[in-house]
Amino acid sequence: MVNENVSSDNVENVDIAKDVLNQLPCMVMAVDLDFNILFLNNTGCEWMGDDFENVEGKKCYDFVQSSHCRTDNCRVKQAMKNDRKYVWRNEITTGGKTFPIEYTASPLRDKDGNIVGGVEYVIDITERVKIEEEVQEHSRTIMELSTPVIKLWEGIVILPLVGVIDTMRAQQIIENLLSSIVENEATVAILDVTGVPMIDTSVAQHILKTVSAGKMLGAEIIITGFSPNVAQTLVTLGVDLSDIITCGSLKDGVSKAFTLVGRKLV
Amino acid sequence: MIEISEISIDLRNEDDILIARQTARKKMADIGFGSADQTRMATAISELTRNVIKYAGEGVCHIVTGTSSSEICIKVEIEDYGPGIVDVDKAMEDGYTTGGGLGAGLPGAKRLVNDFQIESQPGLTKINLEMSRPHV
Repeated sequence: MVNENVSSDNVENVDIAKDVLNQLPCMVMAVDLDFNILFLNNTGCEWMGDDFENVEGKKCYDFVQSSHCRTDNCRVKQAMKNDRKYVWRNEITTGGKTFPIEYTASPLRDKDGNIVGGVEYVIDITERVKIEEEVQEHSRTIMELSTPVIKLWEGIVILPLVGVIDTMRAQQIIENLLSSIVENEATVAILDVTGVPMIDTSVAQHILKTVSAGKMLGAEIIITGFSPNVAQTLVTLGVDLSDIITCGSLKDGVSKAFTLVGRKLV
Repeated sequence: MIEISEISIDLRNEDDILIARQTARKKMADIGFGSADQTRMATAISELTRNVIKYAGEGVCHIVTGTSSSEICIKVEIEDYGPGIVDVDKAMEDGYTTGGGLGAGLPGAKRLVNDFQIESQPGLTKINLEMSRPHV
Protein backbone atom coordinates (compact mmCIF):
# COMPACT_ATOMS: atom_id res chain seq x y z
CA MET A 1 0.00 0.00 0.00
CA VAL A 2 2.69 2.36 1.06
CA ASN A 3 4.81 1.37 -1.92
CA GLU A 4 1.99 2.08 -4.33
CA ASN A 5 1.59 5.56 -2.93
CA VAL A 6 5.24 6.30 -3.40
CA SER A 7 5.27 5.12 -6.98
CA SER A 8 2.19 7.11 -7.92
CA ASP A 9 3.83 10.19 -6.37
CA ASN A 10 6.88 9.57 -8.51
CA VAL A 11 4.83 9.34 -11.68
CA GLU A 12 3.18 12.62 -10.80
CA ASN A 13 6.59 14.22 -10.21
CA VAL A 14 7.85 13.03 -13.55
CA ASP A 15 4.79 14.50 -15.26
CA ILE A 16 5.25 17.83 -13.52
CA ALA A 17 8.95 17.86 -14.42
CA LYS A 18 8.10 17.15 -18.06
CA ASP A 19 5.49 19.87 -18.02
CA VAL A 20 8.03 22.37 -16.68
CA LEU A 21 10.62 21.37 -19.29
CA ASN A 22 8.01 21.76 -22.02
CA GLN A 23 7.21 25.32 -20.89
CA LEU A 24 10.83 26.48 -21.11
CA PRO A 25 11.65 28.85 -23.97
CA CYS A 26 14.85 26.92 -24.71
CA MET A 27 15.63 23.47 -26.00
CA VAL A 28 16.16 20.58 -23.59
CA MET A 29 17.23 17.28 -25.05
CA ALA A 30 18.40 14.00 -23.59
CA VAL A 31 20.29 11.42 -25.61
CA ASP A 32 21.66 7.97 -24.85
CA LEU A 33 25.31 6.98 -25.24
CA ASP A 34 24.83 6.55 -29.01
CA PHE A 35 23.14 9.94 -29.43
CA ASN A 36 19.64 8.53 -29.89
CA ILE A 37 17.10 11.08 -28.68
CA LEU A 38 15.43 10.01 -25.42
CA PHE A 39 13.64 13.24 -24.69
CA LEU A 40 13.01 16.55 -26.42
CA ASN A 41 10.93 19.37 -25.00
CA ASN A 42 8.36 21.45 -26.90
CA THR A 43 10.75 24.27 -27.80
CA GLY A 44 13.16 21.70 -29.21
CA CYS A 45 10.36 20.23 -31.33
CA GLU A 46 9.42 23.73 -32.51
CA TRP A 47 13.02 24.49 -33.49
CA MET A 48 13.29 21.25 -35.41
CA GLY A 49 9.81 21.70 -36.88
CA ASP A 50 8.90 18.14 -35.97
CA ASP A 51 6.91 16.16 -33.41
CA PHE A 52 8.57 14.29 -30.58
CA GLU A 53 7.11 11.01 -31.86
CA ASN A 54 9.06 11.50 -35.09
CA VAL A 55 12.41 12.24 -33.49
CA GLU A 56 12.32 9.84 -30.53
CA GLY A 57 14.98 7.14 -30.79
CA LYS A 58 16.64 8.79 -33.78
CA LYS A 59 20.12 10.37 -33.89
CA CYS A 60 20.23 13.95 -32.64
CA TYR A 61 22.63 14.97 -35.41
CA ASP A 62 20.02 14.08 -38.02
CA PHE A 63 17.86 16.92 -36.73
CA VAL A 64 20.39 19.50 -35.53
CA GLN A 65 23.61 20.30 -37.35
CA SER A 66 26.63 22.15 -36.01
CA SER A 67 30.40 22.15 -36.40
CA HIS A 68 30.62 19.97 -33.25
CA CYS A 69 28.23 17.28 -34.42
CA ARG A 70 29.74 13.83 -34.93
CA THR A 71 33.19 15.02 -33.79
CA ASP A 72 35.14 14.79 -30.53
CA ASN A 73 34.30 18.44 -30.02
CA CYS A 74 30.69 17.58 -29.20
CA ARG A 75 30.33 18.75 -25.62
CA VAL A 76 27.70 16.11 -24.87
CA LYS A 77 30.21 13.46 -25.91
CA GLN A 78 32.83 15.08 -23.69
CA ALA A 79 30.37 15.40 -20.81
CA MET A 80 29.66 11.67 -21.01
CA LYS A 81 33.33 10.80 -21.39
CA ASN A 82 34.85 13.12 -18.79
CA ASP A 83 31.89 13.14 -16.40
CA ARG A 84 31.75 16.92 -16.28
CA LYS A 85 29.44 19.77 -17.18
CA TYR A 86 30.35 21.85 -20.21
CA VAL A 87 28.99 25.18 -21.36
CA TRP A 88 29.86 26.23 -24.85
CA ARG A 89 28.80 28.44 -27.72
CA ASN A 90 28.18 27.30 -31.21
CA GLU A 91 26.03 27.88 -34.24
CA ILE A 92 23.36 25.34 -35.10
CA THR A 93 21.19 24.68 -38.09
CA THR A 94 17.82 23.15 -37.39
CA GLY A 95 14.39 23.38 -38.99
CA GLY A 96 15.92 25.33 -41.88
CA LYS A 97 17.32 28.10 -39.67
CA THR A 98 20.87 28.83 -38.52
CA PHE A 99 21.50 30.76 -35.30
CA PRO A 100 24.07 31.15 -32.51
CA ILE A 101 23.44 29.15 -29.35
CA GLU A 102 24.93 28.44 -25.97
CA TYR A 103 24.62 24.86 -24.87
CA THR A 104 25.12 23.24 -21.52
CA ALA A 105 25.91 19.56 -21.65
CA SER A 106 25.98 17.25 -18.65
CA PRO A 107 26.06 13.51 -18.21
CA LEU A 108 22.74 11.69 -17.73
CA ARG A 109 22.73 9.05 -14.98
CA ASP A 110 20.55 6.14 -14.05
CA LYS A 111 19.39 5.41 -10.51
CA ASP A 112 22.72 3.77 -9.64
CA GLY A 113 24.74 6.74 -10.82
CA ASN A 114 26.05 5.15 -14.03
CA ILE A 115 26.35 7.47 -16.99
CA VAL A 116 23.77 6.36 -19.52
CA GLY A 117 23.71 9.37 -21.84
CA GLY A 118 23.80 13.15 -21.93
CA VAL A 119 21.49 16.09 -21.35
CA GLU A 120 21.71 19.21 -23.41
CA TYR A 121 20.23 22.57 -22.60
CA VAL A 122 20.33 25.01 -25.51
CA ILE A 123 19.65 28.77 -25.52
CA ASP A 124 19.25 30.94 -28.60
CA ILE A 125 21.75 33.77 -28.13
CA THR A 126 21.20 35.74 -31.36
CA GLU A 127 20.53 38.99 -29.46
CA ARG A 128 23.44 38.54 -27.06
CA VAL A 129 25.88 37.93 -29.87
CA LYS A 130 24.69 41.06 -31.66
CA ILE A 131 25.28 43.19 -28.56
CA GLU A 132 28.68 41.62 -27.90
CA GLU A 133 29.79 42.34 -31.44
CA GLU A 134 28.88 45.99 -30.95
CA VAL A 135 30.82 46.16 -27.69
CA GLN A 136 33.81 44.49 -29.29
CA GLU A 137 33.68 46.92 -32.18
CA HIS A 138 33.75 49.79 -29.69
CA SER A 139 36.67 48.41 -27.73
CA ARG A 140 38.60 47.90 -30.98
CA THR A 141 38.02 51.57 -31.82
CA ILE A 142 39.31 52.62 -28.42
CA MET A 143 42.38 50.44 -28.84
CA GLU A 144 43.18 52.01 -32.18
CA LEU A 145 42.87 55.46 -30.71
CA SER A 146 45.20 54.75 -27.85
CA THR A 147 48.57 54.41 -29.55
CA PRO A 148 49.62 57.99 -30.21
CA VAL A 149 53.27 58.69 -30.87
CA ILE A 150 54.40 62.00 -29.37
CA LYS A 151 57.35 64.02 -30.53
CA LEU A 152 59.17 64.92 -27.32
CA TRP A 153 62.16 66.82 -28.72
CA GLU A 154 64.13 67.04 -31.92
CA GLY A 155 65.08 63.45 -32.65
CA ILE A 156 63.11 61.93 -29.77
CA VAL A 157 59.69 60.33 -30.02
CA ILE A 158 57.78 58.67 -27.23
CA LEU A 159 54.99 56.11 -27.30
CA PRO A 160 53.17 55.54 -24.03
CA LEU A 161 51.42 52.16 -24.09
CA VAL A 162 48.27 51.75 -22.08
CA GLY A 163 46.21 48.64 -21.67
CA VAL A 164 46.45 45.18 -23.06
CA ILE A 165 48.62 44.40 -26.04
CA ASP A 166 47.33 41.70 -28.32
CA THR A 167 48.71 40.59 -31.66
CA MET A 168 46.60 42.97 -33.69
CA ARG A 169 47.42 45.94 -31.55
CA ALA A 170 51.10 45.05 -31.37
CA GLN A 171 51.29 45.17 -35.14
CA GLN A 172 49.72 48.61 -35.08
CA ILE A 173 52.13 49.81 -32.43
CA ILE A 174 55.13 48.67 -34.45
CA GLU A 175 53.82 50.39 -37.58
CA ASN A 176 52.96 53.62 -35.75
CA LEU A 177 56.30 53.83 -34.01
CA LEU A 178 58.38 53.00 -37.07
CA SER A 179 56.61 55.46 -39.35
CA SER A 180 56.92 58.21 -36.77
CA ILE A 181 60.64 57.47 -36.38
CA VAL A 182 60.98 58.10 -40.10
CA GLU A 183 58.68 61.14 -40.14
CA ASN A 184 60.41 62.85 -37.25
CA GLU A 185 63.90 61.71 -38.21
CA ALA A 186 64.13 60.40 -34.68
CA THR A 187 67.28 58.74 -33.38
CA VAL A 188 65.73 57.73 -30.09
CA ALA A 189 62.28 56.30 -29.44
CA ILE A 190 60.92 55.64 -25.97
CA LEU A 191 58.39 52.88 -25.50
CA ASP A 192 56.77 53.32 -22.11
CA VAL A 193 55.02 50.22 -20.77
CA THR A 194 53.98 51.63 -17.37
CA GLY A 195 50.32 51.24 -18.36
CA VAL A 196 50.67 47.63 -19.52
CA PRO A 197 49.47 45.37 -16.71
CA MET A 198 51.07 42.16 -17.91
CA ILE A 199 53.78 41.15 -20.32
CA ASP A 200 53.92 37.57 -21.49
CA THR A 201 56.26 36.02 -24.04
CA SER A 202 54.12 37.02 -27.00
CA VAL A 203 54.12 40.68 -25.96
CA ALA A 204 57.85 40.45 -25.21
CA GLN A 205 58.40 39.11 -28.68
CA HIS A 206 56.54 42.07 -30.16
CA ILE A 207 58.74 44.42 -28.15
CA LEU A 208 61.89 42.64 -29.38
CA LYS A 209 60.69 42.89 -32.98
CA THR A 210 59.94 46.59 -32.57
CA VAL A 211 63.42 47.20 -31.18
CA SER A 212 65.22 45.44 -34.01
CA ALA A 213 63.04 47.11 -36.65
CA GLY A 214 63.77 50.47 -35.00
CA LYS A 215 67.49 49.79 -35.10
CA MET A 216 67.24 49.14 -38.84
CA LEU A 217 65.83 52.63 -39.20
CA GLY A 218 68.72 54.01 -37.23
CA ALA A 219 66.90 54.64 -33.98
CA GLU A 220 67.68 53.36 -30.49
CA ILE A 221 64.60 52.23 -28.66
CA ILE A 222 64.40 52.62 -24.92
CA ILE A 223 61.82 50.65 -22.99
CA THR A 224 60.69 52.23 -19.75
CA GLY A 225 58.29 51.47 -16.98
CA PHE A 226 58.60 47.73 -16.33
CA SER A 227 56.99 47.11 -12.96
CA PRO A 228 58.93 44.94 -10.47
CA ASN A 229 56.38 42.14 -10.87
CA VAL A 230 56.64 42.21 -14.63
CA ALA A 231 60.45 42.25 -14.53
CA GLN A 232 60.54 39.25 -12.18
CA THR A 233 58.03 37.35 -14.27
CA LEU A 234 59.90 37.99 -17.50
CA VAL A 235 63.14 36.74 -15.99
CA THR A 236 61.43 33.57 -14.75
CA LEU A 237 59.92 33.05 -18.18
CA GLY A 238 63.43 33.18 -19.58
CA VAL A 239 62.86 36.15 -21.85
CA ASP A 240 66.17 37.85 -22.53
CA LEU A 241 65.87 41.60 -22.88
CA SER A 242 69.51 42.31 -22.02
CA ASP A 243 70.29 43.63 -25.52
CA ILE A 244 67.69 46.30 -25.06
CA ILE A 245 68.09 49.60 -23.25
CA THR A 246 65.60 49.56 -20.42
CA CYS A 247 65.00 52.14 -17.72
CA GLY A 248 62.95 51.77 -14.57
CA SER A 249 60.99 54.96 -14.91
CA LEU A 250 59.94 57.17 -17.78
CA LYS A 251 61.95 59.98 -16.15
CA ASP A 252 65.19 57.98 -16.38
CA GLY A 253 64.29 57.00 -19.93
CA VAL A 254 63.83 60.60 -20.99
CA SER A 255 67.13 61.66 -19.47
CA LYS A 256 68.85 58.71 -21.15
CA ALA A 257 67.28 59.72 -24.46
CA PHE A 258 68.64 63.26 -24.11
CA THR A 259 72.09 61.86 -23.43
CA LEU A 260 71.84 59.73 -26.54
CA VAL A 261 70.97 62.71 -28.74
CA GLY A 262 73.82 64.69 -27.16
CA ARG A 263 71.83 66.93 -24.88
CA LYS A 264 71.76 67.12 -21.16
CA LEU A 265 68.85 67.66 -18.82
CA VAL A 266 69.66 70.53 -16.48
CA MET B 1 37.01 25.01 7.26
CA ILE B 2 37.74 24.86 3.58
CA GLU B 3 36.14 27.22 1.11
CA ILE B 4 36.30 26.43 -2.56
CA SER B 5 35.27 28.51 -5.53
CA GLU B 6 35.25 27.27 -9.09
CA ILE B 7 34.81 29.01 -12.41
CA SER B 8 35.14 27.92 -16.05
CA ILE B 9 36.06 30.19 -18.91
CA ASP B 10 35.57 29.26 -22.54
CA LEU B 11 38.55 30.03 -24.73
CA ARG B 12 37.43 31.03 -28.19
CA ASN B 13 39.50 34.05 -29.17
CA GLU B 14 42.23 36.37 -27.91
CA ASP B 15 39.76 38.30 -25.75
CA ASP B 16 39.14 35.18 -23.69
CA ILE B 17 42.85 34.99 -22.81
CA LEU B 18 42.33 38.31 -21.14
CA ILE B 19 39.19 37.23 -19.33
CA ALA B 20 40.89 34.06 -18.07
CA ARG B 21 43.96 35.78 -16.64
CA GLN B 22 42.00 38.69 -15.20
CA THR B 23 39.58 36.31 -13.52
CA ALA B 24 42.48 34.36 -12.02
CA ARG B 25 44.08 37.57 -10.80
CA LYS B 26 40.88 38.71 -9.14
CA LYS B 27 40.20 35.32 -7.55
CA MET B 28 43.74 35.24 -6.19
CA ALA B 29 43.48 38.76 -4.82
CA ASP B 30 40.19 37.80 -3.14
CA ILE B 31 41.78 35.02 -1.11
CA GLY B 32 44.97 36.90 -0.26
CA PHE B 33 47.67 36.09 -2.84
CA GLY B 34 50.19 38.90 -3.25
CA SER B 35 50.50 40.89 -6.44
CA ALA B 36 53.76 39.16 -7.48
CA ASP B 37 52.06 35.75 -7.29
CA GLN B 38 49.04 37.11 -9.13
CA THR B 39 51.27 38.33 -11.94
CA ARG B 40 53.12 35.00 -12.10
CA MET B 41 49.97 32.94 -12.34
CA ALA B 42 48.26 35.39 -14.73
CA THR B 43 51.31 35.29 -17.00
CA ALA B 44 51.41 31.48 -16.94
CA ILE B 45 47.70 31.39 -17.81
CA SER B 46 48.30 33.92 -20.56
CA GLU B 47 51.02 31.75 -22.11
CA LEU B 48 49.01 28.54 -21.99
CA THR B 49 45.67 29.94 -23.10
CA ARG B 50 47.42 31.69 -25.97
CA ASN B 51 48.74 28.29 -27.03
CA VAL B 52 45.19 26.96 -26.95
CA ILE B 53 43.93 29.74 -29.23
CA LYS B 54 46.96 29.52 -31.49
CA TYR B 55 47.27 25.76 -31.92
CA ALA B 56 43.92 24.23 -30.99
CA GLY B 57 41.52 27.06 -31.78
CA GLU B 58 39.38 26.57 -28.70
CA GLY B 59 39.41 25.13 -25.21
CA VAL B 60 38.37 25.67 -21.61
CA CYS B 61 40.11 27.14 -18.58
CA HIS B 62 38.90 25.99 -15.15
CA ILE B 63 39.99 28.05 -12.19
CA VAL B 64 39.55 26.67 -8.68
CA THR B 65 40.56 28.61 -5.62
CA GLY B 66 40.51 27.26 -2.10
CA THR B 67 41.08 28.59 1.39
CA SER B 68 41.66 26.57 4.51
CA SER B 69 42.85 27.68 7.91
CA SER B 70 46.45 26.89 7.00
CA GLU B 71 46.69 27.48 3.25
CA ILE B 72 45.43 29.42 0.27
CA CYS B 73 45.67 27.78 -3.11
CA ILE B 74 44.73 28.12 -6.75
CA LYS B 75 44.44 25.32 -9.26
CA VAL B 76 44.04 26.03 -12.93
CA GLU B 77 43.22 23.41 -15.51
CA ILE B 78 43.49 24.34 -19.16
CA GLU B 79 42.24 21.87 -21.71
CA ASP B 80 41.77 21.85 -25.45
CA TYR B 81 40.62 19.36 -28.04
CA GLY B 82 43.14 20.24 -30.72
CA PRO B 83 45.81 18.16 -32.44
CA GLY B 84 47.85 17.81 -29.23
CA ILE B 85 51.56 18.37 -28.63
CA VAL B 86 53.59 15.89 -30.67
CA ASP B 87 56.66 15.86 -28.42
CA VAL B 88 55.86 17.08 -24.92
CA ASP B 89 59.46 16.71 -23.67
CA LYS B 90 60.72 18.83 -26.53
CA ALA B 91 57.97 21.42 -26.05
CA MET B 92 59.11 21.79 -22.43
CA GLU B 93 62.62 22.74 -23.58
CA ASP B 94 63.60 26.40 -23.58
CA GLY B 95 63.70 27.93 -27.02
CA TYR B 96 61.78 25.18 -28.80
CA THR B 97 58.88 26.47 -30.87
CA THR B 98 56.83 25.25 -33.80
CA GLY B 99 54.86 28.45 -34.19
CA GLY B 100 57.53 31.13 -34.56
CA GLY B 101 57.31 32.27 -30.94
CA LEU B 102 60.13 32.68 -28.43
CA GLY B 103 59.75 29.10 -27.24
CA ALA B 104 59.62 30.23 -23.64
CA GLY B 105 55.90 29.81 -23.00
CA LEU B 106 55.60 26.24 -21.73
CA PRO B 107 58.90 25.94 -19.83
CA GLY B 108 58.47 29.50 -18.54
CA ALA B 109 54.95 28.81 -17.30
CA LYS B 110 56.26 25.75 -15.49
CA ARG B 111 58.83 27.86 -13.66
CA LEU B 112 56.22 30.45 -12.73
CA VAL B 113 54.05 28.08 -10.70
CA ASN B 114 54.59 25.54 -7.88
CA ASP B 115 53.20 22.55 -9.66
CA PHE B 116 52.81 21.90 -13.37
CA GLN B 117 51.35 18.79 -14.98
CA ILE B 118 50.90 18.26 -18.68
CA GLU B 119 49.34 15.45 -20.65
CA SER B 120 48.69 15.60 -24.34
CA GLN B 121 47.26 13.34 -26.98
CA PRO B 122 45.45 14.14 -30.22
CA GLY B 123 42.01 15.40 -29.22
CA LEU B 124 42.80 16.26 -25.61
CA THR B 125 45.57 18.32 -24.10
CA LYS B 126 45.34 19.03 -20.39
CA ILE B 127 47.61 21.25 -18.36
CA ASN B 128 47.29 21.67 -14.60
CA LEU B 129 48.84 24.56 -12.73
CA GLU B 130 48.94 24.95 -9.00
CA MET B 131 50.14 27.56 -6.58
CA SER B 132 49.71 27.58 -2.82
CA ARG B 133 50.85 29.79 0.02
CA PRO B 134 50.45 29.64 3.78
CA HIS B 135 47.32 31.36 4.99
CA VAL B 136 48.23 34.43 7.03
